[in-house]
Amino acid sequence: MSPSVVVDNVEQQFGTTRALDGVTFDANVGVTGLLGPNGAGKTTLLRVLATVLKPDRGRVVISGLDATKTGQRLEIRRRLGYMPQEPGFHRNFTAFEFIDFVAILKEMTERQTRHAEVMRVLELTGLASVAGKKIKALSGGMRRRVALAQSLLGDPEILVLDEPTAGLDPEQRLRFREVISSFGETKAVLLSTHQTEDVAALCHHVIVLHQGSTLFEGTPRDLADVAAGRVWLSDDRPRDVRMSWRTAEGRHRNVGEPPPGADTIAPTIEDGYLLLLGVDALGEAA
Amino acid sequence: MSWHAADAALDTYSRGDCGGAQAVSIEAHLMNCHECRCRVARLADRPHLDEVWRKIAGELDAPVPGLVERGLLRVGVSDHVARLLAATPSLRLSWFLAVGVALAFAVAAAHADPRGILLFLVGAPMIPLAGVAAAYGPRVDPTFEIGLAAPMRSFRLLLIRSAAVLVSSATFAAIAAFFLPDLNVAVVAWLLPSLALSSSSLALSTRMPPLAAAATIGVVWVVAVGLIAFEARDAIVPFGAPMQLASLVVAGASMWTLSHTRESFEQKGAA
Repeated sequence: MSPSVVVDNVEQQFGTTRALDGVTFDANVGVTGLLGPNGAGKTTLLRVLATVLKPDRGRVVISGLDATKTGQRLEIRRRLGYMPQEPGFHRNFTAFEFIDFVAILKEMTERQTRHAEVMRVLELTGLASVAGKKIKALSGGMRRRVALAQSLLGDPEILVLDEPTAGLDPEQRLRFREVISSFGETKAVLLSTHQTEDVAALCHHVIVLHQGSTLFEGTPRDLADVAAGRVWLSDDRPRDVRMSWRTAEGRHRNVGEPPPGADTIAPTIEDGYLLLLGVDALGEAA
Repeated sequence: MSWHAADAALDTYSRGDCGGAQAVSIEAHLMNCHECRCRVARLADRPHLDEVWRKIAGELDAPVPGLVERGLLRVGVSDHVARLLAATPSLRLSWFLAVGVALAFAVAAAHADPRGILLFLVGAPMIPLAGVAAAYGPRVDPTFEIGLAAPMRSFRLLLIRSAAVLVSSATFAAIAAFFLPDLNVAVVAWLLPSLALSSSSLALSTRMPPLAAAATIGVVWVVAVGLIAFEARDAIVPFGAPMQLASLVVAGASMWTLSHTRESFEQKGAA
């Protein structure tokens, strides 16, 4: 079976900044996570996948259709749901009206079928009870759910989500994970995140981007294995270590090159990410 | 209930194939007969029934549309177009209020000084121009990015909104024109320039962002009319026959350009 999404040597330049520099990967049914620090090119890549941006060079094939060709791009849009990083809303619309508006943009013009579909996605995201509430009266978390709901309209084959869990409280994040993972059982979901926990909880496939290039591609286990044998516990803070912090148990958890005889432990995705990106990852991996 | 509907009749009814009179008769019977209701329920096409219930729930849960949308529905605009228009920044109550104030100011200027008519004639065509610029684009539409990723063509959305803005703004300006001190050619002299400015701005939108296009056209318009009026030392002369003819030509050329470059407009959205 051919992959749902093929990204082949994609380049994107904004002025003198090279946002994407030969990014290449395939994605299939399941959840693919894009991990990387700010400015790594995650949002640019997702905008290219959502057909909002046309890449300067390279090829993007979605469900067998070429995203760089105008006619095929429209067909891709019929099969794709997109949640931007900072979704805008018509704040005087109710949640129902806003999603109904996006449904019209998605060519659902028959009123009854459209309204039924709007209610379906509102229920799917737990928003049915606030369907009649104005967007401006909803909390930030609720608005993100509205943004997710609109992306689910029409049961798309491919879902492109730009930092869907950013700014959510733990309970809301869990609800999001539930919806996204259930969607990933039958569809291809591509999401960007700063949260390594999201990757561990949701993704079967991880791509780490750095300065517009693919730094890593593999499973979450592979990413953790980057730090295999390079994470250890010690009673004191060692010198010349990539990163070290005191744990709740009072010992130091260290990431870097361990001394001989160190008490090494199983690495996490976060450890692998830290080692891959070095100092650039600081403050990004949660 | 001592009698029950025949199996064949219920079967035909459940498929939706029986005629009106028979259907009414069966429905009247079903209202009072639990057994026949159960038989129909067993015969019914379950997915179809679920779909019908889903649609009913969707209709019942749909909130009452807002003021602008209700007005549009009342004048016969289809419900999906009305919703697209309700999300247009330049079709909001605040926009109409601003337009009303601007036109009242221009009319007042015409009453205060005979040369004040120039303010009205220059300003009236710029109202639809500004409205069209504020109808669609990354800086004015909060859902622009979501819209770009949706299959509806951006160009179609722009045209629908622009037409509505053009009609509503021109209506406002036309009403204001009747309050001018003299009911002469000035009452209608702004109409063709309005069309020319708005359509040329749309045509230029295939090359640059809509706001930049409108600003460029607006500046060219003000400078051109200002220069002609200065040369002629008259407020009405710039809006004479040559201007009307030029407006017609510009409007026609712009529409021709629009119809031939709409594909580039789509590509620009994904550029």
